[in-house]
Amino acid sequence: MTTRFESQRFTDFPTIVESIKGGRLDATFMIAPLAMKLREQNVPVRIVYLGHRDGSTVMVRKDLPAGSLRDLRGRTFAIPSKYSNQYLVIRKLMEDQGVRPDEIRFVELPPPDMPSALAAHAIDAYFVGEPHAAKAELDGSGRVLYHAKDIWPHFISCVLVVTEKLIRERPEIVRDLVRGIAESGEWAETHRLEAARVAAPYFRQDERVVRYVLTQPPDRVSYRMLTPTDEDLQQIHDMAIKTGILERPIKMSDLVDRQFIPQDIKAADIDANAR
Amino acid sequence: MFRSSLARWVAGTLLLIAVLGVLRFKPWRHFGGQGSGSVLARAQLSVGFLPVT
Repeated sequence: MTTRFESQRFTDFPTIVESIKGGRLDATFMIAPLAMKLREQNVPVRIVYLGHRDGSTVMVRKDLPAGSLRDLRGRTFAIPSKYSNQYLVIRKLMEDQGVRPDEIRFVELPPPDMPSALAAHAIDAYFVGEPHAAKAELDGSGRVLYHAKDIWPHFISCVLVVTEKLIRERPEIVRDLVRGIAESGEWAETHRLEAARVAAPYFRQDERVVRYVLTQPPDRVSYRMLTPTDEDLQQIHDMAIKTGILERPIKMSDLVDRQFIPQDIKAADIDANAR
Repeated sequence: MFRSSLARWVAGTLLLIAVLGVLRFKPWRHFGGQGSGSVLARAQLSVGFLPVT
């Protein structure tokens, strides 16, 4: 038996949540705090793996002389969702820099809309997963204020979530999926230019943008260390409690299922020229 | 065989139902790996994603 995986592209996280709750989707990548929120609401899902580490960037308008969050007081800052780890990390960094929560105005924007909003001066800064940061860098409307890896090494943005029904009824498919992500990630680490060619159509982005993300610098995004540790998730969980995103604590044992993660990960055999 | 028209009707109906059942459930999709190599049995799963890293 082989498994055929089909990617289902979404443009916003609320639709992903509705698809999971409605039973129309059994596996998806989603922002980590949102997965925790679902678990808090007793939606039967588990985090089984990560999609990547790092790979998120804080961008500011190129014409602003901002050197830190302190310089963004009174400015408009876009985030993908208040249930994103990007928002939690920014709130933590604001606290570290002595910036009060009400001193920066946060707005939620779909990630693909962020570069154009920055170029139109509708927002002053944003924090998002690539390639939507690199796009503003390449078109000249924005510059990097922080890479996620500089704020929180091995930063987690999206996690792989599957329903408990799928785990119970088709564990072999979940195992196949996790192994496929692990092995293709290992391949991407050593074939970055080819990976850009393969991934660009899925992102619906110019290959040049994806190539930039995967090479400038090469550690801008990482596809290794994709096991979600209790320590990683507890840190996100605690920040989510502190900011009021989560209303009550959840146990890590109810949230994570690591039984499908392969012990030995070898690079997948991918032909980047195949269509 | 089937001297009675009623028996022919019943047999015909059962045969029709059996054929429709086979067409509906497509058993060759589940066992195709034993025959043609191009029709392997496959499970399918949609995996959602937002185009961010």
